Amino acid sequence: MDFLQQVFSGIALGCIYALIALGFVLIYKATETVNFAQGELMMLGAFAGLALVKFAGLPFWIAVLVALVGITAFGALVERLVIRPVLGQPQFTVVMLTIGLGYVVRGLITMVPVIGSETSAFDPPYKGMVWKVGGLILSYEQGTVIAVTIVLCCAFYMLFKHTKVGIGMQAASQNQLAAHYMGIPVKRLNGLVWGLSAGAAGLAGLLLAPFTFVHVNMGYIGLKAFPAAVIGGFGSLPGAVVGGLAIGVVESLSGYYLPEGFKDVAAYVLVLAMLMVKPNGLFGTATRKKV
Amino acid sequence: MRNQGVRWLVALGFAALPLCGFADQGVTKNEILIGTIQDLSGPLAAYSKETLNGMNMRLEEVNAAGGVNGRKIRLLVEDSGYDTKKAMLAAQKLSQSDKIFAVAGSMGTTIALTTQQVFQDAGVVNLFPLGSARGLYEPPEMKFAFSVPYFQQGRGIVKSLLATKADRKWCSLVQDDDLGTELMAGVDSAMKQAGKTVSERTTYKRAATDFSSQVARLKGAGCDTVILGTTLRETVGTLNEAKKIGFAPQFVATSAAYTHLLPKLGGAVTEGIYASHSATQPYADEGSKAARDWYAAYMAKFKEEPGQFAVMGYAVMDWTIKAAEKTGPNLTTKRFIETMESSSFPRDKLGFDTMTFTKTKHIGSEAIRVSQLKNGKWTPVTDFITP
Repeated sequence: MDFLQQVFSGIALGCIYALIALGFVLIYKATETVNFAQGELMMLGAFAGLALVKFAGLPFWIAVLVALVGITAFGALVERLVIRPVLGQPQFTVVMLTIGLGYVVRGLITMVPVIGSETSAFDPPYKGMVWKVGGLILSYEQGTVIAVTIVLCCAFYMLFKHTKVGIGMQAASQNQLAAHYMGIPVKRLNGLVWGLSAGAAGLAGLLLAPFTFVHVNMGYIGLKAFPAAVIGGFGSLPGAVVGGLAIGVVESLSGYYLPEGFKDVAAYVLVLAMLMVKPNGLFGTATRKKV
Repeated sequence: MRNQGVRWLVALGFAALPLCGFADQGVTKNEILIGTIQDLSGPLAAYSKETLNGMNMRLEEVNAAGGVNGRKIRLLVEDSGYDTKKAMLAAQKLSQSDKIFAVAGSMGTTIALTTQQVFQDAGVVNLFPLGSARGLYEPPEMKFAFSVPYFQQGRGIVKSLLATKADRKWCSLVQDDDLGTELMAGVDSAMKQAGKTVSERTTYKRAATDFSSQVARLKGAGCDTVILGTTLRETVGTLNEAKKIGFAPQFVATSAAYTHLLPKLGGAVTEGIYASHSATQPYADEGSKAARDWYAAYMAKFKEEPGQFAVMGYAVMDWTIKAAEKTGPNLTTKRFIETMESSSFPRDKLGFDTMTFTKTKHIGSEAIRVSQLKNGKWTPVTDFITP
């Protein structure tokens, strides 16, 4: 029973990692760069929700929706204003830009009066409620995280398999130039990808808020999502989800069964093991660039 | 060759001579310059804001009453952003360019530890940093401290718990950095004396978000007393997890969690938790009349509730002023230190223990008391306990 309880907790935590990892992978697939501000976008989503409830007095669910739309728009805007101007520069440029962006976002949030430098509670209406199934205990907060992750994954699956936009994105991620010649609006799609990725991160932030509260450094959890993306194979969406879940469960179980301290290194040990056994990740494909 | 080396050393020694000793700067006919290094732009900005409120409140009181022996106090604030490199520059600026008389109430243990040598070299007195470490008052040089290190807090907590019930299943959940290490060293030393041991030890990394496995372990071990070396968020996170799985031991935290923000952030789950501390949290309708009046004055001035840092900022400035007053009109660094080393500040309205300094003891008091959260308010359950 203890084992199952730990697995459950691990899955819920893993879902958060998975949502952030999804954002990493989306952007990586589309633009072949890594967005190191993913954690900050997550933090921004949580702050947006909090501000809407606290200052605008919106009900919880409406605030969550508005925050999600807002953060998605913000992601697309960042792509247009920050990333697109350096298109064609070495990947390193974009990486540095996103790291800088993270700093700027954290700095700006600290300047927001009242909530910026504080830790605030952002409690959903179902706060503190639990399901008891047999001897297992699952909180509503954890249940919501798991349910939302499943729904989002299905939505992404539908988008990429069955819509024109999604197929266009797939094409662009395989070969931007060829996609462009085929009449696919690659630039606009990149903006959309950034928006979606920011939206996923913002959602993770809103879901994480009941556990860890809203504060300016909450984005550091992105450091755990990165190994999740690596384990799954950096270019694979299902991989990101599986990777996130794997890290969540391994962390939870190692915290319970292994000696003290292993919980904190478990995620990285898993990544090292994965890189030795299967360097391309669980779902990654070995691709070679033709020069 | 060797000869030349020695000569160089001697020359260097002479060059360094003027750097040692007392600077006797920062005191003019009408003014005393006090410096402070705060975090105005980093993770502790909220604490620094409160601290400065408290310091300024006391400073304005004394200046309005004519100052210290006719001299007004001027406070110079430098920003460290909680970054040791920036703090070093700030310390150099304050001591060498602004030429302050003393530095008081600097924010953060690491910041205070890194910058203290700069002030020592410049002959500037280092007063009451907002940080807890033995290095901030030992060896007893030109530095004085008030904040009780976690080692002593750990000893005090064990002592107070043993007094109420000796037979316990002791466990711990601490942050795996200085906070946890120091605290557990204190806990272990007191436990050893009492012939007891901690049965289950768990830790977490700073900024951890999930405590399910740690709390499950504590529950599995059948703990009835859990010592928490946790800060604000992690305390609430732990209590939430414990409530979820129906685990209800006696939780005892340290001054790192003793704040009026804890019940605000955690709500009902925080009810009943214990914590060690030195100053008492002021409330509008609790405690002595002097404490309530102070609370009202602070609220009227800053339009927000005073927390622990406001209390500490106020006290730091208060002790500084009292020592300067006692030194008399002829205020020099040497005389000020002599005064400090023979001073005792009695228990005040803010609930600090009597702060006594001597030539060999530069921490005011090592005693802590334990409070419990009842109806969302910290209520003292013990008097001061010397660990």
